[in-house]
Amino acid sequence: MNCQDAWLLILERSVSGKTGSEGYELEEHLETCSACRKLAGAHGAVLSDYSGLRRLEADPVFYEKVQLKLKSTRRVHSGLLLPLRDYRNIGSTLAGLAAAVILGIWIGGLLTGGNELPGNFTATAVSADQGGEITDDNTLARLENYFFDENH
Amino acid sequence: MTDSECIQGLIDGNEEAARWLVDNHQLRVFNICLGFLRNKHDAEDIAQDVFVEVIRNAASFRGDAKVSTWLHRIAVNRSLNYIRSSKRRRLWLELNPFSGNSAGDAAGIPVAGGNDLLEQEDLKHGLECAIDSLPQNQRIAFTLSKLEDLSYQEIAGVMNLSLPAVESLIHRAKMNLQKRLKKFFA
Repeated sequence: MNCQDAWLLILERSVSGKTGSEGYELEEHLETCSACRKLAGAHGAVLSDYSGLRRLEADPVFYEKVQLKLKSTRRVHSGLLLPLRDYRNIGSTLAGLAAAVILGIWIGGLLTGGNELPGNFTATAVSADQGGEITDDNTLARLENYFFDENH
Repeated sequence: MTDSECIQGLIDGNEEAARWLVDNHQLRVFNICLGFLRNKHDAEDIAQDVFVEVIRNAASFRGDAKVSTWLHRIAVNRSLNYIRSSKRRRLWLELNPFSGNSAGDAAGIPVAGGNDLLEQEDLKHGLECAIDSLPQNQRIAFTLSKLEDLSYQEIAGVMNLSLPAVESLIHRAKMNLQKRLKKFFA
């Protein structure tokens, strides 16, 4: 067995706890190779360190600790003016309200014809563009009477 | 109590359901957190947070997986988030000249040397660093398998992956560890 195979088996052993049929070969290799022995030792040290910390029995007061944390985080929530979720709700309500107002103004404008141009708007603009010349006969006659009639 | 009864109980604010959940799953959740954090106090703290999150958000449980899978997934995510935030803190301490703290010892794989005891410690540390430096998915799969004895099927559930994907992740994790440790032993 070469070192590369041995390393894989050492890692395998730490993953699954087994080395299968090659376990014996690995042990033989470890007896002769100091580098692989070191790696196997390091693995063993990590695993034994870990198993020392590992909890094997349930903590009888763990539930109380969770409850305490649950209550303390709830208190933080109630300490705010409103929970974040409510702020989110207010935001979406305001956005909806604004959209409704804009829609209302637009529909209202359509119904009352507020956006349409007056019928004679174009004609008025065109006549104003003709240099202010008055072409209506009745209007001219009235103006002549006003300015030149001595009886006035 | 079944999973669905427990979740319904949590939604209804039933204390018995909360106690059942905590009593039945606390060991696994604590040990998963410990596998990632390697610190008893941190693992205890994060495990409590996991249960707080589950009790609070029971209504969001979709029921497409087991409650245990959901719990394990939250435990893994919270542990990794904690590690990320500690790394940021450590980086800040390293960069801050006024902190007076040196946390650079975990920055890379150390070089073996000195007497046997020290060498063994260095090796242990090197191995931990090598595991920590694995890509996240490989690290999760490797840690859950190595330290938690979760079956590949369970790991697939926690990581939301197929069974062959988990097998491949663990195989690649071993290859990568070998590669990284080679530098250490060279």
